[in-house]
Amino acid sequence: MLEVTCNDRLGKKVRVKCNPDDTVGDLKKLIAAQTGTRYDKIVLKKWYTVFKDHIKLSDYEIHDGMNLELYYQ
Amino acid sequence: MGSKKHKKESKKRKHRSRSRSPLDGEERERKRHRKHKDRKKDRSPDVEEVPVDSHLEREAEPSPAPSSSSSARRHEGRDKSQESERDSSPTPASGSAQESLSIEETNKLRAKLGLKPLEVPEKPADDGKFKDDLGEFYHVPASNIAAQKKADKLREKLAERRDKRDIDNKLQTSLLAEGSDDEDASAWVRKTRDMEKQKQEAAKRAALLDEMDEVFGVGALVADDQHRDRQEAYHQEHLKGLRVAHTLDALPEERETVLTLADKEVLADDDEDVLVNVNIVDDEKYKKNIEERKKARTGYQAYDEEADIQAALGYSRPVLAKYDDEIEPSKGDKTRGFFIGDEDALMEQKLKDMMRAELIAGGPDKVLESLQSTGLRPASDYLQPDELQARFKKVKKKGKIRKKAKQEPIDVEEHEAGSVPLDTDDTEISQEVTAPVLDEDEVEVDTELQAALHRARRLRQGGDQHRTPKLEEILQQIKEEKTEESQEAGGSMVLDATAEFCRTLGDIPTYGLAGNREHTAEIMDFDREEAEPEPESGASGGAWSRVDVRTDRPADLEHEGASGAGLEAEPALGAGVAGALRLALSKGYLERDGALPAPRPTRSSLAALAALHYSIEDKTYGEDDKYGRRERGGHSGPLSEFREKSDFRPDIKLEYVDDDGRPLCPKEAFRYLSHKFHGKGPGKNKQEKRIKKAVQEGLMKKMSSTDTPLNTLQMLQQKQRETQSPFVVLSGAKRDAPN
Repeated sequence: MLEVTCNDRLGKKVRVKCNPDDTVGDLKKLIAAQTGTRYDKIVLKKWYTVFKDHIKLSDYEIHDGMNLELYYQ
Repeated sequence: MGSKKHKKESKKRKHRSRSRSPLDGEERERKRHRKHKDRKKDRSPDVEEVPVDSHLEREAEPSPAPSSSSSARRHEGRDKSQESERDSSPTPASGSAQESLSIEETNKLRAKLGLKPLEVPEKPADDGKFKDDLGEFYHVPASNIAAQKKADKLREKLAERRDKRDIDNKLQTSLLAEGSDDEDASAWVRKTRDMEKQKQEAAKRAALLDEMDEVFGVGALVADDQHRDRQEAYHQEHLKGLRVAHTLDALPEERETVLTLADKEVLADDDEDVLVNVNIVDDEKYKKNIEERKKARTGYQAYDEEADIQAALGYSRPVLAKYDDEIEPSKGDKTRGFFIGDEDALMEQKLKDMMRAELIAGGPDKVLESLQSTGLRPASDYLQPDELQARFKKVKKKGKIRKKAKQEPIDVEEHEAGSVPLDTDDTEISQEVTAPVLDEDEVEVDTELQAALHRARRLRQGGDQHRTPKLEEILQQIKEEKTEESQEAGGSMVLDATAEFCRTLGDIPTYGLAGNREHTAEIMDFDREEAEPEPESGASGGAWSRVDVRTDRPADLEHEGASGAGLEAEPALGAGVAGALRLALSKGYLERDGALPAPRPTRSSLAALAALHYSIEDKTYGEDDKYGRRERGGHSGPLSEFREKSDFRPDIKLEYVDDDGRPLCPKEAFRYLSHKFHGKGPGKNKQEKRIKKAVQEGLMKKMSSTDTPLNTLQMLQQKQRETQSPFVVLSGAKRDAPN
């Protein structure tokens, strides 16, 4: 289990617990459940890397306590 | 099914919102306080919903793995009962900084989304074992060093305490004061009395036993036995083979020396007993120290004479003997000394000593030459004091002796010639060598006399030149000369100091002329008859000049005239043209022809003046040596090639003439040559100037010396002749003119 922090720098900051073998899409759904934003409107980024939905968090080497940037499309 | 659930949820939501509103409100309030004011706006109703939703999910899923919807539904039936519990205890996760769900809530959510539940990391087992990252191996936990140290310290402290306690137990004795506290004085007295009684009893018993022994004669026997035992146990024979640690020389013969067994270590493996004398040991130690100090000072010696001698005596040649003591300190001690009773060894030792002495002293033809060189030392830039002394010897002054001589002048008069040699300080003159010492004044007079005679002879010869000498006269002359010479030889002259003094006073012209000075005539008494034939007496410094009245001619006039006085008689005019010419020549009116007004003194004419032992070639030799081949290269030979021309000294005179044939002075000549050399003449102005100068010079030469250039004098004379008056009237106006 790992916990990532997602922050759009507009006032929303959520901490989401997830598994390392979850896909980014799953993470987005969890975020959506916590924030109330539709998951298909969420974009997760780290610097200029836009995380793709079908790839696992472990493949992106997302670890416990990481900060992800939360954007909307 | 989905719709039904939905309906239920909405219903529950209402209910929950009602039931939990105070708590939610409180929570929100707390959050508002913490968050920024701007964020309040962002708090949309959507966000508010999330915790509500999650709470619902949590209530629905108390167990960690309810994946099926049926079970979920089953649990939902109990929701109400659990809800009350949840209300009272809110989850700790909801109170965190961000909105974060607990694991259970997340799992619920995940189940809803169709995801597998979270993998909660199991608690590590309490056995202290840790799995590695791969989860395969257990690792032994690293020991905590700090804890270990602490434990060690603690243990040490405990051990110390225990030891202390043990020692205290062991040493528990009654103190002196404490002990005496127990016994009173009477007890102590009793005790001492007991002890005394026991002692007395023991002494009595011993005396009794002795008495008994004596009675039976055992005592003497025992004493005798003891003595004999000791005798048998140790006598002279037993000393044989014992080593004495000193040389035989060290033991003084004249008195007894007490030897004792040397100390040795208790654990020493060799049990040899050695006899020593303490005093001699001390002496040896002292000597050895001194020797070692010397050795240390010498350092390494390439040619150790001591070692050579050792080798010659048959001992093994020591290698770096000075370290022997460090390698094996007691080695030398063990071999030293002699064995008592071992006569052969003693003899051998003695022989070796003798040989050694012989080696050192050497045979009759042995020359000792040390191979040890004196140590190198840095050369000094300055003279050493001893060198200085060697270089400069102080010259002994002779001043003192001279002084003495001055104080006591040798009286020459007193010393008769040939009687006693004069006392001179530096040279000894043997009796035979000393020539008859003449009076100084006598010598001087002699030279003067000689000069006078010589002059007279010359004069006479000069006088005879006029007439042709006849044979008779010549003969006569010879005869006269002979007599003269004989007279000279035999002629005695009496001179004394007074006469000399008077003579050197200078010539007083009137002296003796008046005839009142009779004695002087007497003093200067030549034999008149003999002196008279001498016609001469040249003026020799005014002394004794005698003019012969018979010869009228002045003494040396002609001769002196020849020697060239500046004043010549004016040649007389009137002996024809030649006389006139000679006058003109002498007065400078005429130039001597050949343009040689005063012929330069040539070198040949000055040859008499030249130094005899000096020539220009001497100079050239030096120069040849000085810059010889170096400057001129190899192509020039020696400068003094033509030795046979050594007296060839040409009279060289450099004269230059210009294009017109005029002679040039050296300055002009240089200018002329310089122009020729550079191929570039002087400028036009310069040339004009020069020409003008030359013209002027020519005019100057032509100028009359007796008249002005305008012939004023001539005109004046003409005028005077015309007017026949010795004057001329000078006037500016014509009317004033007399004519």
